[in-house]
Amino acid sequence: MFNNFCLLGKLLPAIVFFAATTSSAGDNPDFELQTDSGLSLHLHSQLQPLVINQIHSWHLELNNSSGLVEDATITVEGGMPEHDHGLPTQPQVTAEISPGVYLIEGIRFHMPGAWQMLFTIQVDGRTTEATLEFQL
Amino acid sequence: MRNGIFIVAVLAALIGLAAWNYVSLPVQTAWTLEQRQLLDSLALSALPELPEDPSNAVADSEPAAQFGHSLYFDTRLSGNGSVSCASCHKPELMFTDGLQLAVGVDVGPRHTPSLVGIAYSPWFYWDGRKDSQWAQALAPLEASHEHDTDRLQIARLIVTDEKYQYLYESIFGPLPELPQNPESATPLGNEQQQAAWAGLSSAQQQDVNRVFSNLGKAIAAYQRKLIPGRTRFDDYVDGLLDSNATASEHLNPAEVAGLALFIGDAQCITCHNGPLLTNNEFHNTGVLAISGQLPPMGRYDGIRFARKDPFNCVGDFSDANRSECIELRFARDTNDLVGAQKTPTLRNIAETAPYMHGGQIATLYEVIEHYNEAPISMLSHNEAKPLELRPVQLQQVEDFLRTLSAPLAAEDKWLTPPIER
Repeated sequence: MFNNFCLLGKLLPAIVFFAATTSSAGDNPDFELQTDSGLSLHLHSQLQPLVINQIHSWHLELNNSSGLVEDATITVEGGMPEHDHGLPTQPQVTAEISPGVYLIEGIRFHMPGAWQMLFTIQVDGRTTEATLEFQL
Repeated sequence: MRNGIFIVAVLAALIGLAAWNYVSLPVQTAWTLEQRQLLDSLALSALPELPEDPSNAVADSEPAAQFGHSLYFDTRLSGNGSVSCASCHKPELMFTDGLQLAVGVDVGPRHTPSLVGIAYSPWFYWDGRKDSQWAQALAPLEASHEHDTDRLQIARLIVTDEKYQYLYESIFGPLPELPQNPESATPLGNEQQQAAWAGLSSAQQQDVNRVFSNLGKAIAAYQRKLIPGRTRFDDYVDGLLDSNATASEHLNPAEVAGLALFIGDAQCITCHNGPLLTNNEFHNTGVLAISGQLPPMGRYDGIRFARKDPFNCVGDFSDANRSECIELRFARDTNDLVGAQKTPTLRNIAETAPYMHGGQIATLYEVIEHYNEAPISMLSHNEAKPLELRPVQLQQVEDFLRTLSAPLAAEDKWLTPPIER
């Protein structure tokens, strides 16, 4: 599945990548991403600092040009392309904790190194994607 | 003349080869900031408090640990009266047995893993088929090659042994009344045991399962005491303080070189990370199948077993709310887990030979050679890539791994059978 995810990243130029290529994401685990359809994602880890081997949650705030976007369907995948494997867990969006703010549970990273996370967002029947790259 | 040149050339090539294999390069004199951060992340001083186990209400109860201590060493918890948990998880061998494959009542299919520091893991068994230490403790009791007994026989022992009855009831409350017959029953045993189990009412089954699961919780409370001790490596890292100089009284130059490889070119730290030197996750590293067995499916099957286990975190006998069972709820189950086995701790690794899930590799050096070669996996793919390290470097990694041994931090009383009172 993660192989497909990598392939998808290479084949779909429409995806806007925002690579948070800081040398270490650990101390400031907040990320901003944008998609080509005008959606912006603010990701905030509940685990501070962001470290390996601890299961935790993230908050995802979804905005478009007119403000917070409610009722989106969001899926999350992730992995380490260098090692050809995915996350050890299968994170899921389990709640919209306030309008436009989504709870992603079940995130755990189990290796230091370069990680990718793919967010697939469906709003009003339109699907868009964003990829986060960071170093742990 | 021509022969002379040929001989000199061969000699030069041989000397060059020997130097390549066995001559070490000078050890770096100072750690970089990045290396230093990695070193700090591996030291025992970075080990957090033991995580709570919400599925086990008595996980940190001292009386439960004492009860579990007695159960752990009691050979009456076996079909032939000669096998206890300590038969395979021997305290004197860092809670392993020194054998390739475990031997209880019979020879088992897997190598005995250490129990040291394992309370930090969210998953148990080489394939992670159990999601708590107490659920893990139950399975060997009923396995025909391990203790070869069953839950009803064990419940009867607790009810009939005065000391156990007292300990049980003081921790878990009144014991249920067990059925007069049969003597022996479990849903997992032979046909006779299964038929006997089916003959019990669901209330009786629930009673027996409750007692059985509580015994697992007591054994787990004991096993949570088995915390690793401070090693030379830990003294080395903590002794660095504000200095980045690699030289120290705690490690010799070969061990320092091995440590640099461990966090660098040998890539050990990708899986053997954190203060327990394990990520407690599952990886396919191309280890040969166990002799006479098909290559195992590993974690791919393990997570499926864990989800179906009636003793898992979301089951009737767990003390956790469903929302607390985060690892089980969000566990991955995809094809890339085929053939993946759990990363073991490297603490006290020199004392726990042989190695791997089937004890397939006899020595530490051979394990490091295995990762250096990264052979093609018989099933799915090997996540590791060849390292191309020289023999002298492999030896340095081994030298470093041997610095990871120390007596356990657990009090001595937990390392021998309890004194009868």
